[in-house]
Amino acid sequence: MEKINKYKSAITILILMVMISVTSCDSFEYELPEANSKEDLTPPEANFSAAVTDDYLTYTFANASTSATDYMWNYGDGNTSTGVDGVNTFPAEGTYTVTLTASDKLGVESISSLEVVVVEPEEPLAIVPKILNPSFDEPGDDGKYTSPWVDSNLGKTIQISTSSSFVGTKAAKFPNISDARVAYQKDIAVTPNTDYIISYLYSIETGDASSITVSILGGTVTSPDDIAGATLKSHTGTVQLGKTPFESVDVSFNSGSNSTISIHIENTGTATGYVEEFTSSVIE
Amino acid sequence: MKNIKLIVLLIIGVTIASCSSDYLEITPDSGITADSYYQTADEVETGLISIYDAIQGVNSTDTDDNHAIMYEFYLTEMRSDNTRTKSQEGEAAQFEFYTVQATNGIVADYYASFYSVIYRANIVLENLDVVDDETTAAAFEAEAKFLRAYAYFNLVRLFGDIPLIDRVVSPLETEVQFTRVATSGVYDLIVSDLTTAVAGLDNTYTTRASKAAAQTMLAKVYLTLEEPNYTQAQVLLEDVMVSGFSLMPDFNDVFYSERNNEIIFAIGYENASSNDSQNFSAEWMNGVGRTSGVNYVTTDAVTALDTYGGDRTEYSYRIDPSQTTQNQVIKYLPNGEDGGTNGKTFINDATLAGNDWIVLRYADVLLMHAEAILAGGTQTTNINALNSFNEVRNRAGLADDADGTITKDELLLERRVELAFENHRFFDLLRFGKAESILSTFSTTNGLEYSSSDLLLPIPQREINLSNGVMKQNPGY
Repeated sequence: MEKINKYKSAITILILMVMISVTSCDSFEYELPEANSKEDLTPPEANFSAAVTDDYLTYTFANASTSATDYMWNYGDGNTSTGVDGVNTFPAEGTYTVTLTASDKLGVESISSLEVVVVEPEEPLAIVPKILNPSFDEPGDDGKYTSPWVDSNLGKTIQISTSSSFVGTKAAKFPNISDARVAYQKDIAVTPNTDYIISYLYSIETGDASSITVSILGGTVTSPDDIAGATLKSHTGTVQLGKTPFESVDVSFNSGSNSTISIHIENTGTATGYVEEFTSSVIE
Repeated sequence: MKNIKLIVLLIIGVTIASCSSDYLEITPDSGITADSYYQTADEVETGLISIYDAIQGVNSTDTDDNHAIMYEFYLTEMRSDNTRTKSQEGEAAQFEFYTVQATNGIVADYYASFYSVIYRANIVLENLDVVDDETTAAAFEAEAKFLRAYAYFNLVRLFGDIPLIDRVVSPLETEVQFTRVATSGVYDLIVSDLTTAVAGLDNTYTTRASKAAAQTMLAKVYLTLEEPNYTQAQVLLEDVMVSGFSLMPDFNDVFYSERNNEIIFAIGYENASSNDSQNFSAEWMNGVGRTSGVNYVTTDAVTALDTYGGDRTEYSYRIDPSQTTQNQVIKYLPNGEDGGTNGKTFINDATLAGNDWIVLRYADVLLMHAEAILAGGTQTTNINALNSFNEVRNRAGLADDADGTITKDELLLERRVELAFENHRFFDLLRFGKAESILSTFSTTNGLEYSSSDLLLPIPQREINLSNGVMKQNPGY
């Protein structure tokens, strides 16, 4: 009997102890004791970055928060999510404020937001080459009609004809090869890896066989030796019907890795040649 | 007596006069110190060679040694959708599960290894003044800078913002050792170093820096930058394309006829040499190296290779003869031996393998050429891009691109099957802006734990601890 009583009292004490601990749990669970408690030195810090996907309306959000355990994403279009990383498809173009609320288990929150501008990307348009003084009718700052077709490193300055022209009143004139006159225009901006057509007119006076060569060069050259290596495409015209019947030429080429091109023109024969009216266009 | 005084005075006088600073700071003649070693151009060149030694790493199973490029596959291929460990457990499996810890020893090994490369390069650059011949000095500078840029390019893509050490620092200069510099600042040094390298190198070597290697790497840097410079990359690559390199007609020969015409830059190893051999070839086999097998091929990569690999498939992976449910990489079989019927019986010591590690090869150049012309767009029909793209496909026994239009996805896929298991995949995914979408899908399908913060590795915890609070960890670790 005594033994059983002892057990009973022991059990009662145990139950009491359990009850006390259960009740006392409530009292200190959310209230840490003052003594020996430490300040939270690493509160959550929300941070993230956004990246557009192949679909311009859909963005992925990379979470870069520190010391946080729970996340709340608000995409500014009514959508929300609670995963670590975010992904959202916006309904239409516009500016959305995306907010990330990062929190830890102490309930401390940190908020970070980012404005996302959703726009449909435009197809980048290729640059149309702009050839200056294309018909030799516009005087440059120096008052000369040869401007900007002059480069003394490559050859003597061309002449300007006022007696033979197709448009306007003037044309470039290349007396003959022994004269070594060269027209050269550089720094014509192009979009790399794009197909272009450059067109022009030429004529050659009758006489000994002669020709006018127009070369499209990638980048710029500083010496006649570099021309062959830099040539993207060239055309040598040999139609020799006199001053006025102008022959039209289309030179099509790909700009390759060049962001600028140059045009180089020379007379490779003995009869006088004329060059007129450069135009350029992008092949779609 | 008078004479004695005079003599004493004289002796004192002589002694005082001979007390120059040299007398007090003696150079030990029984040993070599870093301060006294570099006196001639030949000695500086030995310093250059030691940079390659740092990239090779130490062929050992000791976790305290730097294993450098031998461990690179853990950080790159095994963190992509290409490979995993065979056992799928242990420290090495943290990579494939995207659960890398800041305490991961392999990450710390690689980090220390490549800062060792940078340190050795800085030593050479610091001692260039003893090289009298200007041409030689310029060549040495170019070579050291190429290797320094190579190390930084790997580190910045793996760790993000990192300490930027561009000179020899002393142990007490802790601030520069632990201050993380923004990636743009790191890339500025990389571009400047590689530009110097392009100007000062020629194409003499394949297992040392060359002009083509510097051009190819600079092109890759231009494609990787936050604001890529596609035109510059294209110009550099087109220059490499006329420098005499070509694709090997047989894909298998790329890996087993060493230093062939397709190799632009490789890290050289020698068979059976404990100093200059590598062990990754053995680690990729079934229980041949220290591990039970790592860099095993994922089902995802097997499917891609089977469907799109052409002739490359049979030379890229095989079914593990000892464990037929598993697939092994066979691009770097130890010394070219296939391991017999069980795939793990080698005549030569497989853990002392001599296979060179290919860093850059011509197929990479051709595919980057197409990438440069694509210029961040979604597709291109440019004929030059198609020529380069098709050259790689034709070598693999595949027909030209069917519709004459290369899309970004096609290019990424072609790179995957051409350059599988050569540590390109992870960086390709990042550069193409596809890492997030492809890896999160891959992770969901296979029950892994990918999140966007896994795109950067943790700074090794050891560094964070040593920094006394200066260095902050990457998010997510």
